[in-house]
Amino acid sequence: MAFSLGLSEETRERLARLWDLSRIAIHYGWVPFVLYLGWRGSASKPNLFRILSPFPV
Amino acid sequence: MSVPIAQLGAPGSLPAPDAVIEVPQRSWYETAPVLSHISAAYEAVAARRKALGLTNPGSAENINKEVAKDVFLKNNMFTGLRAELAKGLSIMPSFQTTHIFSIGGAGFPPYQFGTYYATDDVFAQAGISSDGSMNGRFNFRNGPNMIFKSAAQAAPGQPFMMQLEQDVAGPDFSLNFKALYPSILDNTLTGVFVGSMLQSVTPKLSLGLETMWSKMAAAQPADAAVSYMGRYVSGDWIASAQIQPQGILQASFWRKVAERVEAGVECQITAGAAAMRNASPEMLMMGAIPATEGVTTLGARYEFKTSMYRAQVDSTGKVACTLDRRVLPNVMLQFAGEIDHATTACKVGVGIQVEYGGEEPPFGEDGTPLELKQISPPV
Repeated sequence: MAFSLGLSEETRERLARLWDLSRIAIHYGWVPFVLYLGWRGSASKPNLFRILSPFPV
Repeated sequence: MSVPIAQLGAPGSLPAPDAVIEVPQRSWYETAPVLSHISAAYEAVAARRKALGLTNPGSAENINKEVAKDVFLKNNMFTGLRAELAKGLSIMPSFQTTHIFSIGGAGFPPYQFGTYYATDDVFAQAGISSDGSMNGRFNFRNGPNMIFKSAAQAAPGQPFMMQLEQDVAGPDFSLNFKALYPSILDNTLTGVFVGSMLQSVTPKLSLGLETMWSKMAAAQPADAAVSYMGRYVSGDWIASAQIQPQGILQASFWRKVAERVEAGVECQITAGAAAMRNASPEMLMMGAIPATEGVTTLGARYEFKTSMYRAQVDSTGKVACTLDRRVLPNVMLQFAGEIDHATTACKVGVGIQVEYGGEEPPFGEDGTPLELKQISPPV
């Protein structure tokens, strides 16, 4: 393929590191983030135990 | 037709001096010499299109939804013992958590935790399971008829999966742009990019095409393909077909047999390059020409007040059925079974699904169950 984005080696390395970090952030941070969104959106503001427990308490 | 000169100056032919003459507001591209013709032509086409009374055909992805997703039990099949506890914490906006415990299910991790949060414009879903894999979805409305969708999947020791999608629903067409594994880290664009369009041609018939461009690694050559599809909706039956250039033809037919009974049949024929890819390398080394293969699946769905029964049989000798029965307003029992006659293997699954209401208690004060609001994730 002829076309190249012309990124320097340094930029590519930095982008790769950034991508690795965001991948890890999504892997471990997405579930807490959605729980936070739900907690913020709900009127009752349930505590963490109530959110995580599988029982209707 | 000639008009006598005397009549041109007659009082009736001119507007009254105090009448307000309405001049339509015209923008520059409607009055510019060449552009005015183009915009006039565009307006004429738009007016014609509007006069045809076409409706949105639905997305290209859902071209055989009624058969593949509603009637067939691909998404409902499970094995082993399964218990799903869903807890609604809020109804508006919708916020729910689910805990899924599973024993003996092939391909199912022992424990899965899931949650979703949904408002009218935003949908965020997250799931994590005991083997460390995570899946997430984030959709939001970025225009009156547009939805941006993203999905990610991460599992330890497996490549990270990411998908970005933009849906546009026009008055009589649907557009979809999709990017899978997009990356610029190899100093060139890599990934799979798909654009599809489905257009209503008549109120019943819609035609569409899908183009795909993919380049999985910088060193590999890029690959492009176009596939064509059509869908015909007529009252109580729907027919759809899709042809892919690698040699896959898929045709499906759905019909509402009775008020609560739906049936569907799908036929997939794989030939040429696609069959070549499925064949084992040893067979190709020996010079065997892969045969054209076809699989036909026939299925039916019965929907009753408190239960749903699905059954399907296919030409490879697999017979499968599932039964979902709501024994209480918030408790559902699920049974699933499959027998593969060709390999004499069978799968059995039994599951229970319990939903707890959010702010309202699931039972009334006198102990009778209240009619629970159906908590289901918006699509």
